[in-house]
Amino acid sequence: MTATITDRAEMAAMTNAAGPAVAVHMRGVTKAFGERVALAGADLSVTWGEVHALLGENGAGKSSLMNILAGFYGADGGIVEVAGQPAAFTEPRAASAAGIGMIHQHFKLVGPLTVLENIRLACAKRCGWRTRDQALAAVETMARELGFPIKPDVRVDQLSVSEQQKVEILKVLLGGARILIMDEPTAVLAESEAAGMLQLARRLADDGRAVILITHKLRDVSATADRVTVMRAGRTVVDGAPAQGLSAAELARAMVGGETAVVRRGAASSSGEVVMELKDVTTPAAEHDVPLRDLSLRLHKGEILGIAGLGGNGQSELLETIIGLRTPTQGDIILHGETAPLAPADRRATGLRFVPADRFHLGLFGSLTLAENLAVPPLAAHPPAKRWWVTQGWMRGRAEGSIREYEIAGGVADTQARLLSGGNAQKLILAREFEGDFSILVVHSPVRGLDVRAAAAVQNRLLEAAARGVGVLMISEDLDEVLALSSRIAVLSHGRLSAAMPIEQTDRGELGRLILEGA
Amino acid sequence: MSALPYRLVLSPRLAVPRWLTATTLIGGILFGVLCCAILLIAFGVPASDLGNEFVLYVFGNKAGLDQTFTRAISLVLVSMSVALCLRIRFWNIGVEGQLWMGAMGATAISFYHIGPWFLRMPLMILAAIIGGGLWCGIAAIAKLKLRADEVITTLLLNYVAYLLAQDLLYGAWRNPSDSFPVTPTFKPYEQLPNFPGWHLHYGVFIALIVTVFCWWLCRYSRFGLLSKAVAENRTASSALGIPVARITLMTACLAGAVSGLAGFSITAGEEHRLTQFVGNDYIFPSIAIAYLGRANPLGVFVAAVAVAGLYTAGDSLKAFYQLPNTMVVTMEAFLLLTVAAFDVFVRYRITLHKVQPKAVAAPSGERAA
Amino acid sequence: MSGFLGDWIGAIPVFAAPYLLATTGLIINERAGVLNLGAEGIMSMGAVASVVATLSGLGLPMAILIGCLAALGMTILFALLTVVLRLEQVLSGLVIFAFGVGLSGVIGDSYANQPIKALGPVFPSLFAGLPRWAQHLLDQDPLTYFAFILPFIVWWVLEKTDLGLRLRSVGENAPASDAAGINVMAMRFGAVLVGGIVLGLAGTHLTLVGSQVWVTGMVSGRGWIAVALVTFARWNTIRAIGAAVLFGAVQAVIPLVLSSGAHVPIYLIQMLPYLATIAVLAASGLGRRRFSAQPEDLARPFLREERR
Repeated sequence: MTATITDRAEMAAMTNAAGPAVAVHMRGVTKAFGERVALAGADLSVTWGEVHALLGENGAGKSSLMNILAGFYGADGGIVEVAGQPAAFTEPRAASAAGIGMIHQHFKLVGPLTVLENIRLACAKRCGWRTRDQALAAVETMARELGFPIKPDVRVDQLSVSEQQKVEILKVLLGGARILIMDEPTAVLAESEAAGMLQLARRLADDGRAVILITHKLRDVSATADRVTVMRAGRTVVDGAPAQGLSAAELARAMVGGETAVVRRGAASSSGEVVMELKDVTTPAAEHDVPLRDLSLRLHKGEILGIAGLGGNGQSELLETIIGLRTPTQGDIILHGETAPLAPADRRATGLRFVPADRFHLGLFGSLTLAENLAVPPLAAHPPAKRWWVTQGWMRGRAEGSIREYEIAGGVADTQARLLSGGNAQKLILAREFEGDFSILVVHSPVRGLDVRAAAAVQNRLLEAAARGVGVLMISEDLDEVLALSSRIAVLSHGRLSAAMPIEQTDRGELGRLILEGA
Repeated sequence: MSALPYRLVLSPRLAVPRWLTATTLIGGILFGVLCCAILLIAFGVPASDLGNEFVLYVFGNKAGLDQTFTRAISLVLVSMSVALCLRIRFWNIGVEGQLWMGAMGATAISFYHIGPWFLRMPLMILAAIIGGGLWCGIAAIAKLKLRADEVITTLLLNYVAYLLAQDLLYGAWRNPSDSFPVTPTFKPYEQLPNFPGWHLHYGVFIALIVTVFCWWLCRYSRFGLLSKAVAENRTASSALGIPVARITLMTACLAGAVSGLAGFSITAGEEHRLTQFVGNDYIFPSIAIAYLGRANPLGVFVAAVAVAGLYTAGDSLKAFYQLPNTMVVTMEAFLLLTVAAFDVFVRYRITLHKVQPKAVAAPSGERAA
Repeated sequence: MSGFLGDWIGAIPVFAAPYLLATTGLIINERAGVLNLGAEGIMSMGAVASVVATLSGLGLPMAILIGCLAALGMTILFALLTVVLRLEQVLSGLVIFAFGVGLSGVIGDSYANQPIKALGPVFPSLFAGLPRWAQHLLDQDPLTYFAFILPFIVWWVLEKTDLGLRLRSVGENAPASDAAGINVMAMRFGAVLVGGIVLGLAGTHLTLVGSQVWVTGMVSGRGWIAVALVTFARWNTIRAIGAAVLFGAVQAVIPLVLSSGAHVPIYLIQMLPYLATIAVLAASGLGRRRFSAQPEDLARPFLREERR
């Protein structure tokens, strides 16, 4: 494989020039975004030819550290060296010229442009391609070596997530990356595809590159990594230890820094009254969405029905359709035995509540205060709370109770909601949604991005609600979470929902197959 | 930029301290005023006179105050109209058209002698409200149902309303005994009375009432809080049950009605009939004032009075120093430019970063294909 | 062909050209992600500057150049506000609109209502043999020809060249383009400037070819109509030709109808272009398309360190 041999020769030249085998050396790196401290002294040391796992919970600072390495922003302090030379890049272009390539969690691809156009955009100058054919030849060669199928003239926004990821990888490798940063590459893949991705990382490292694998999954570490660095709250707590030398429990403790909290699943009850039913619901196809197809489910009083599946298979669409933001072209939504009214406000009035995945897109109003956020639903309700005159005092009084009860930290009633951290924002949403009487709760990724304590608190509230008789529909991309909390489970794939099975009767392998291939 | 050892970085601010908003506003205004002063001096106005003109003449004597406050009435109303819409991120560039429609509505009542004499004025007010409200409402409906951008629709409706008015003035409503295109003068019971000895008329009460009402609406009403939510995020608002379309439409109609009232105020209070120039030159001041007042009803009131003072000063400058007509508008635009430019300090934090020496580029610089 | 129809068709290019130039310039801006609502102000500057230059004795080619330079000056101001200072694009546009119209009024005050010698037709003899209406249609001045050629050039650059690819990607997804190594700020700044020069040409056309005189406020909303036409043309310069011809036709019919002696209300008929624009906007809103042609990142300021 000609390309690889050239890589090796250049690699050797670079390594020899630099001396020791250290590709990346970061020490004491600090970074703050305004008032929020992202990094408070992070260290990382990566050698050529290794797969180095960078492990940590969401918010630990892994992405920030790598964004600094890849030139997206500068560090406030600390040392950053690449191949023995100081490397404070001021823009991504400079980092890629130095051989650093980053594959982001949210791909940096331009949707309406084709696969070939996207790759040309990034690589043409560097690779010296002057014509389309030159570019196409280079792309096809690399794709063949890696074993990727490629459709050069298809618009990127029409590809599946894993196909887009392959385009991103081609783009970065053709751009001449020696140091590869992969940010949560397996997060969007099914189990079998994930294994393939990890094998690719191994192969790229064996060719002489330095591969940094950012992940929060312990399994990825043990499967592939040579060494592991663990970050927590902006600092490095385990610095480049051999991956085989640490047990999963030790790694978990390092990530979390304390004892994990216990969540206890309540009694299953799938025989009660049906509070919500969807019958053959189909939604129209639109630009960035996955339409629902003939989707049917039944939610019983007091149960937690878990909807598992990879992200991007219709989860948001399902939530939005249930709450009334999207209208199905076919099928019925039935709440408490009656056809659901059209307006979201009216559905809320029948006892429906929701907790969305994206807290500030569909959940909270960032520029409104905590008190104001809590006051919105009762003021908007049908029939409205009979208040024409709304004072700050009235709102504050109501809010203070909720703040205490839900232990919302990081703000008082008059603080703007956008200043809250992820965990506290989620608690605020719960405080708002749990107010008053409600009987149906739809949640999507309820503990995404939360630290373990906050996650346990949220999950316990969901269990309490179910125990009180609320029917909970839990949509989550985290299979472990779904398995831990649900009494029944169904799989969402390409907008279709499998039949729901009681949790005792599920087989993890079968679930994996359903998640990947569909019902 | 790569040659300097330092680099300017813009990062968005999350929390904006009150003192910063105030200082940047004042800073922007002062800077703008300074530039305008330089512009005026360049045009031949002696520097020493500037202080006189801008302060003494405008606020220091009766004629100046009279002119300023009279002008302020319609400015307060049209700017309030823009501000109300701005609060829900609806751009109302059509206040002139709404003003014309309000003026035409009021004039129609007078021209066609609709209603007994004691009801005439209330009917005129009602017609003005309906005319203006309708004109803005159309644009809101077009936006809600047809996704037609309101910047363009409201703006084009200005031209349509203006042409309609001209058509009526030169045609059906023309006063036969006057050589100019004007309507017959309103009857005494159709005119807003003046304060004795002043030009200032009772329209000032309309301006005050509207200001207080809008202040209450924005700060204390349920409508106001829900509007804030709609302004930030329409989707989340819908999801939580806020009637987004209804709030948008109601706000637009209210805003249009307020502009329509400005039309009533000018025809019934100042001109006592409909003329060709009733609605001219309100688009830009309304936006500038709404922005200067930060879309807050009280701020808008204060800013409107200040800008009215600016116009009065401009008039006397025109008279004494033969400054061109368009000069004042240009100065005003420039003032808004500087205030808007200074806004960058509010929205972003600007820091100086020391650039560390760059890494040596990897040997694999240009690859052969 | 009958006189009226022939006259009408022949008049269309001159009326359509300013719309076409303005729309093309705006498309260049918007494909790069910048919404330029100051078009009316920039066109005004182009219009007034070219008249002042002509009346000051500089030749017509020089006048066109000066018109473009004046427009460029106003555009640089706009670019500084939107691309560098990253102010809300609607606001910056409105400010430039007012400033441009106001300033052009100030400058043009002493030059108003003085007729100038227009740009003449290029090949008067070439079309001699054709019927009168065809002659009238095809025999135009260089600026009008350019107006109809430019959309093709711009289309080719945007769709077929590397530069166009980069410009489009900046308008669709600025962060991704940044990650790919494109200098987003430079690209947008450049696109705004080029678009501004074309807008200046549109203004120059209005005075040098169209009315041959400067009158305060003579752009009368054409800049705004052009903004609407961009949506109508779905951000495609070739389609913009059709849109501009439509509006040119609407505009051209007015003086013909008025001078024909028919009893048509003068003011009401002048409403046609504005009503037509609103109708066109409404029609664009009906009928949802699978993929909207609107550049994704339109009117979003680009900031690398943005979080939340």
